[in-house]
Amino acid sequence: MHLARKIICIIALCSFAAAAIAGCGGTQQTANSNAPPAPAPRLGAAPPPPGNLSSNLPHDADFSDNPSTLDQIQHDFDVFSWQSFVALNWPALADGSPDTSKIIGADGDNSTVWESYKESYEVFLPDGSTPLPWGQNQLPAACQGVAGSTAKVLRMTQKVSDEVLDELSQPFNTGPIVDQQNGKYARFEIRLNQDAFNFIVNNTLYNKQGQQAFTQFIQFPSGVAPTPTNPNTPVGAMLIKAAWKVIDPANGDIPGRYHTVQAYVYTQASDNPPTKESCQLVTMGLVGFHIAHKTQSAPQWVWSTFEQVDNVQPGAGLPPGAKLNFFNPACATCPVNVPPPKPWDPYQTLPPDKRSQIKRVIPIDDATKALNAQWQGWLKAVNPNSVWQYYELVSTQWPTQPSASLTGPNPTGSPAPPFLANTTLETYVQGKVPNVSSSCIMCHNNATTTNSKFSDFTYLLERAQSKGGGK
Amino acid sequence: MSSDPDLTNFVGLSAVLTGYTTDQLFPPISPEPVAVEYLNTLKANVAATLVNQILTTFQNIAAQQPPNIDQEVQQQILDDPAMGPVARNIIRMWYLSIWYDLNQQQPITGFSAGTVVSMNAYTKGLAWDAAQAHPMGYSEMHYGYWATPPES
Repeated sequence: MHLARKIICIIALCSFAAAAIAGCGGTQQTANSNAPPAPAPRLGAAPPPPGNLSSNLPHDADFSDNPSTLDQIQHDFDVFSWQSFVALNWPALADGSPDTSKIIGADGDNSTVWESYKESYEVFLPDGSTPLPWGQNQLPAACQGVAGSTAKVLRMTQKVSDEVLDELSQPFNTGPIVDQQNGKYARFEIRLNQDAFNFIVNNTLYNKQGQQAFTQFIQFPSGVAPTPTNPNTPVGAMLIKAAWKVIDPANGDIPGRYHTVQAYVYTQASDNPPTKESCQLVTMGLVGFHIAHKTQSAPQWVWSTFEQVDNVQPGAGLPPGAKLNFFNPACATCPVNVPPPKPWDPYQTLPPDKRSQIKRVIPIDDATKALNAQWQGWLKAVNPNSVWQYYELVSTQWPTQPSASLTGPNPTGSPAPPFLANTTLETYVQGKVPNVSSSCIMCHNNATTTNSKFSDFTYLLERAQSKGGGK
Repeated sequence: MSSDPDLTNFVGLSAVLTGYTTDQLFPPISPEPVAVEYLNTLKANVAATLVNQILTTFQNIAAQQPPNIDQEVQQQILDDPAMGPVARNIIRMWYLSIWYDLNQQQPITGFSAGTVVSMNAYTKGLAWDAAQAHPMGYSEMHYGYWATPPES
């Protein structure tokens, strides 16, 4: 029943159940992003960032322009999405907080704030034990002996040293995607920011026994816009889901168009198909990026989704003849938006005719395209070689009736747009069929704990195991 | 409210006919305003002169701000032999998301063949809201809602 319900709602975008982000509680990023973003503090000769680029993570959308129409409010939420994207991908210090002496993309690529957040596998442990404190990481056993796994080496690359990509399939097991360049499977990860992590840990929601004992209605903390009289407000719970592809220049990938990391690609042992446990250090490029953020104005959360611009059609500046990530325009007979044939074996390198042929079903609307051009222009102005100019917002989903009760009629708050999908994360559930096609809020409205209680729009809590490892 | 006078009058009349408020029927911020679809359905299935007569009659009633607008709508529209069946079909459309064939023998004693207005409308029938239930295959309620009695 439970599985059937999830499949029905198959939705998406958000299917993350989770994810993560960041720095909360006002400890890392507390500046008021509801006002026009203030320039990041500068050290030395660092120039001010162009446009509205800022390391300040917004706590909520800014409605100071008094929007009165659906399109105007959509614009404000889309700006919120871009502010969040830039702040989350701002250069990070060793502790994961934003390095305000630097500007995003000034060096082309950079380590990011969000990649220091807790990954879901670090929170919901197999034995249901208490996760390590914020800031401490643990690798799967199979990754601990892998060459290059010393913090020293990875710190030298200025990449995230503890990246582990352990998720193979998209939400609801609708199928993996296989990139056109090299026939490799895309990988996924889910991260939680500190506000989300603290809520789970403080309420012992990381194991089944803790969820059973928690009798209150689950409500993650909301982001609240700072005011002059109350400047230290919470960021609110954030969940991030990212999709990555193997970067292989020998097969035509252009690394300068992706945020890349040296990541441990971890594959769990499986009987079907027979798969052995493994962990490899691989260069991966970011191709999809979801942000879910619970805010005061959106108790149903705000759902932002970004993609690398070359996923399914050529992005600006893509050299003629260069391959797209997940679409081959030369193949007229390849089935579109169909999962690869089973068995889904991550060790396979699929031949060209079996690779993903993905099309976007709902186009990005013109207003969002215009906003993308503006923010991409600011990112390019930092550095013509900035990788961040090659990302685009698909859209932002938000509740049009946010006052609707989460326990009464209309708990979803009539989301806008009604449907939203990322081609790398909700590939096979794009469309406009109610309760079937990808819609973040509608799907996550069905999320529960392990004891079937509403879990406040995150499926992550279903990952909790029994304390001690029993059933 | 809309700048389209037909839509404004249609929503105002619908509020009287259904018992819901105009904001409930046509929220100021709505991604999929079903009221627009219902008005278009009405215009596509009923002669323009009759639609205009209904909307104009309601506009005149509303302009007078009568103390009991329900009674005025009953007397001037629902009791009218031409407008009454259409008004009752509007009620059915709002509650059931279906436009029923008007070309049946009068008086109507049952439901004739009908057409679901749209995929969007199917999920928004007021009957489901009034009964605190949901249409088949579509629920926005939280998992386990069936274990809790509806609010009175």
